[in-house]
Amino acid sequence: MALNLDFTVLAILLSGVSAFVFLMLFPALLELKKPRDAGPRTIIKEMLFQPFAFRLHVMDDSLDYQLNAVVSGRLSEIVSILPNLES
Amino acid sequence: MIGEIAGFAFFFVTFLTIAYLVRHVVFTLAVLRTPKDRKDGIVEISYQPSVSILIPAHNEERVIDRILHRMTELSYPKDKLQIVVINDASTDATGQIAENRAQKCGYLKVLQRYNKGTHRGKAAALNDALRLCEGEIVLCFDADYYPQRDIVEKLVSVFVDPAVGAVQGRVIVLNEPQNVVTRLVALERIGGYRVDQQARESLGLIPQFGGTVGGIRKSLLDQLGGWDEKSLAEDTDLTFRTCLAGYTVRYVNDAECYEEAVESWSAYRKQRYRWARGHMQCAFKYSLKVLTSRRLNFRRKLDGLLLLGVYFMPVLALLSFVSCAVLLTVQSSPWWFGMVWAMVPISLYSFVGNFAPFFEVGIGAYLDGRTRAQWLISLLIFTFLYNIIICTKAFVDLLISKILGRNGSFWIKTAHSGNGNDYILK
Repeated sequence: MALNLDFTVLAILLSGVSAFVFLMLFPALLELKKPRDAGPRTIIKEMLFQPFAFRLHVMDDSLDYQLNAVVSGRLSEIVSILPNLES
Repeated sequence: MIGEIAGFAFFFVTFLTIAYLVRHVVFTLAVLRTPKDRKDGIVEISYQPSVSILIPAHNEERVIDRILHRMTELSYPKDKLQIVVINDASTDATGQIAENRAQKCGYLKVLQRYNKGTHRGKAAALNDALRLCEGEIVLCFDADYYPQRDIVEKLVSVFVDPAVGAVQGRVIVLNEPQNVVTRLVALERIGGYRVDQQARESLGLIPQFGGTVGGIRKSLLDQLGGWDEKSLAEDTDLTFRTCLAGYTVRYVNDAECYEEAVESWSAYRKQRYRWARGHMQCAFKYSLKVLTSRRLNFRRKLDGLLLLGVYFMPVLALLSFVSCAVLLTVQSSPWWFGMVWAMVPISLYSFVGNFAPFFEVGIGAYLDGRTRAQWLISLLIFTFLYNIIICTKAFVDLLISKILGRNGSFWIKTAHSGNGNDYILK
């Protein structure tokens, strides 16, 4: 089979390929422009967890109790800056 | 005549691409069928032999203190742990930093290699440190790595089986958000470890010992004569020597360690060049031995050969592009060409090297809960094309060095910026 293209076919082919390439790369460009991927698990010295806004996933099972302590500590910090609505 | 030659070359490459395509589909399906809540690879966590950890370093002052500090935080019993830092003629403060740590930590030793005439290179450094190793299991970590606290327990657990010779843990990129290079490298790692290595473990094939975040029995290492100092890929070399000696290599996905990935395309190129050339060296050295070994069953032989051939595929990709271009323009192309010519680029993009963009990376990201990271997969087409250039150069250089009889051990080290520290919360 020998390739035998006229100008119209070539133009359509090039347009189609360009459109395909753009569609293929579009999600990647979006993600690079506005990254929303959770990224690698953040390491807090003793253990690992994904950013709190996404999902907690402890890899170091033997240190579950420390994770609870960290979460409680963080929540305490957040609560402490809220105004005391009862007073 | 040109048409026939191009046709033969194209048919050959098409056959190989289909073989790798099938391999990666099988691997991906095998991993998808692995239960998620299973402790991947961990056999017996209570088995705790004596362990020696080797950390080779050459000009790593930006990162060495991080891993040495981490070594003091490991949860493995300290009376069964020995850490040996090998400072291989560093010209920066690596040696001094290591000595400072050793003064505070009784189970940490520093081996300073500054004697003239000694072989340089990672393999030579590791061999030199072997005489200081007292543990039954020898683990290796590169200087820029940051392991989990309980990684030693997880890695050595597999050695409760006397048939196990070596083990490999999972590598995750620490500085992934740094730039597009680190993000793409991270995707490659996800495919390579979460799917490719895990599948080989699940299917009883040959997981590869990667030279870091892994280990080997000291007795086996002595039997094999240590690391091959002439090989650029001493880890791949050790993997196949272990298997040919009748032992198995295991992969423990739960044993995670964090690495600082390359941050520039030039560093990427140098690293991949070293991997490609070293891997090709091993392919020339072990392909026939794997094929004729009586200790490997048919599946492991097939997997071993496909593993050894993996860095040749980008070179063959270039061959396929050239032969395809010839066949598209030559009047007398083979009758089957019209039916199969489209398969090669599609298959190549799906499987190339350890990086298998589509299947393995996508599924690996899904299993890790990183579905948004999948949006970057299409960018791997550029690393795929880049790897064609890198691997072709490595192949040509290797052929020239073999013809001219050149060989030598030296550090082709990856420069580390220390930016990984930003991702460890204090």
